[in-house]
Amino acid sequence: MAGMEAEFIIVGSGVAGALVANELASAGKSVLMLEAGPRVPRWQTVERFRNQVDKTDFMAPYRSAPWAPHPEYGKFANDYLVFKGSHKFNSQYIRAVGGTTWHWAASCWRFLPNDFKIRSLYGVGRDWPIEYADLAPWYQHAEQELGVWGPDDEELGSPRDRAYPMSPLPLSYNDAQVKQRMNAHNPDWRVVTEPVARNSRPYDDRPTCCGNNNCMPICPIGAMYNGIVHVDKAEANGARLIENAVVNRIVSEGDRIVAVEYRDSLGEAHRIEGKTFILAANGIETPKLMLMSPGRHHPAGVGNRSDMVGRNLMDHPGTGVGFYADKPLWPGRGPQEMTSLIGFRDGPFRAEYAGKKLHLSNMSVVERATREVLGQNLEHDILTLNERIRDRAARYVEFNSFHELLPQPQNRIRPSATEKDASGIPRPEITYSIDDYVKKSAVHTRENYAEIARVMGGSEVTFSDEFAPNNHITGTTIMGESAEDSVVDKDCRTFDHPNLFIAGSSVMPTVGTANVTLTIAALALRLADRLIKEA
Amino acid sequence: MCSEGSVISIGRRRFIHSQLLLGSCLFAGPAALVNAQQAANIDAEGRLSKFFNLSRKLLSPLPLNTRLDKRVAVRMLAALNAEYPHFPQQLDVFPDDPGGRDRHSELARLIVASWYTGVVGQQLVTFERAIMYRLVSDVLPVPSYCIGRPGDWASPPQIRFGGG
Repeated sequence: MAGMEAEFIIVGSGVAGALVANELASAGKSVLMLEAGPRVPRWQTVERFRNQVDKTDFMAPYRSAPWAPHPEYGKFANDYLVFKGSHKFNSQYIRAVGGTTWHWAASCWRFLPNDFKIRSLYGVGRDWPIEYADLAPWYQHAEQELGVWGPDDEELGSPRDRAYPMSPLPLSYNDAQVKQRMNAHNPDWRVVTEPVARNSRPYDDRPTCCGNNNCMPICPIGAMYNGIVHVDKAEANGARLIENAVVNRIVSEGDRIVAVEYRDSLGEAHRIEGKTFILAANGIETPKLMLMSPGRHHPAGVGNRSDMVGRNLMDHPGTGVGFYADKPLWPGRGPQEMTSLIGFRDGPFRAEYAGKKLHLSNMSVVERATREVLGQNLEHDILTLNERIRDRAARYVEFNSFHELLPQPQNRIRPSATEKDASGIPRPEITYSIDDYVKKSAVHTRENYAEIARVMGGSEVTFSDEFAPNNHITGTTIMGESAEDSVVDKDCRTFDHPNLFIAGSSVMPTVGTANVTLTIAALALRLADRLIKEA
Repeated sequence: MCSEGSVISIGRRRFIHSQLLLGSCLFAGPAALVNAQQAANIDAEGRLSKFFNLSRKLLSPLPLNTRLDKRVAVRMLAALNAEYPHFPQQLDVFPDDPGGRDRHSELARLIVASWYTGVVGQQLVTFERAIMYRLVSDVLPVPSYCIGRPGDWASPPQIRFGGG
């Protein structure tokens, strides 16, 4: 593939890269996507999942390729990430064609208007250089591209001038019961139907959700949106994609990017030239690549005169609670997540502690209940065994949460100076710590968890206080007004290189108070529009 | 996963039989060498038969009587033999008709747990036919094996089996 070139080179084929690629290709532009990982057909992931022993390991069906490792833990731990600081940033992502949205629950939230200006309003974090009004049309466009259902009869706090592309399918009995009881007890909780990228009717040649209850790790039928949808569309519209292409260097001449270099699965080196480059390799791999590409004019790495590349790493640290409700609810019917508690996303309290979203799980817990009852080793007859398993499976309730971590320059990812992966590429070294802004909020969350358990007549209430990652990896090529303290401008163009742009969560100045994928998609579509207008 | 109508290939059947034979060599003395293979095959069939009938008794009143259940039993016995070296001998001496104490012995618990979870050690024997999913199948799908229609999940569950 020596000397291959295209006008637009996109590094990464997840939802961000694929949306940009499809928009550009549809506009007749020449586009080449480079994806570090392999192509993985849906059926293969489904079969891998069905045949794996530990069904709680949602990453097990996504074993990484040796030349493009992504973090793996537990049974298949590969120690890919190097952890520093008081908290481990033990996030997950998928390096494969289609990226990490193969494995998500499709939550598609818009930011609140106030999420864009928490510095001005609350004196914390950073303001975005754009406002909600700037992104609103792109949120609408993103909802259409992904195929989002949402509650037109509920106010979620993000103003909209058009209906959701699809109306929701009804809430699961579990979700509806919990929502009704909770809102009756405390309307300020505001438990609402969650907007999701899931089909309530045939949409975009994809089927309606029928309740496989397997969104994570993989929707067997594609009723839920996955980034592969736009990879397929981009290719159908003329974009090319080279998989197993691990980009390891960005090459510049002066302030222009002229090429990227990659190695294939056999370790052979290749060079790709282009006119415009878009990095879309996620919040860890994009800054890693930039920092691995020093040059005469940018000794600290591509796009890094601000020294902000890799810094301001954020996620939504999460805590949880589990209990047994006073009556059967039967989680496991329908999609894995359908509602959220949004009453704590915004308010003056954000000057003191983090805004957050809480959400009820609708995942099946049959295996958990079975292992628990069998593990008790009591001398049950079969019918009693079954009754106990059914009872535990039916009454289990679990909530989890996302707390808004603020951008802090000392939270960062860098290529390790000493640890390398199998291809000799530096592994990501992550320095991370969770501060009082989040910890204080988690105390408030726990009080509310206890109250929720009381409302639901809960017994055996168990809190998961240790912060879990939620894989919303943001901030590491931060967007801002000034080249002094930011990596990209409000058009997602790097300040340092006029033909280098970034798509994905790494540009987000704050992680906000809900899932980030719709914001990633909106920014990607807006970027593509800018690129088409400029070309 | 085999469907009801499909045939196990010859190669696979031979492999299963060789797995079932694990341990049976201990009981075949020199005099049996002439017809060792035939004897071994009878032993394998006998052991499978015992395992299947014992499983039915231990899991009673849950029905375990389809061709697919038999296929699962073959895989499960092979996995148990492979995972637990003493399993074949223990199975051989286990009563054909287990009483109360037998039902709560370690061997009986192991067999019951294997059928319930569909897992033996680090081997998945069955996911879709695991008893734990079958016993809630009036209400819940096996994850990734949707059997319902969009929105089915909104109604209160129609309980048909005991409990919940």
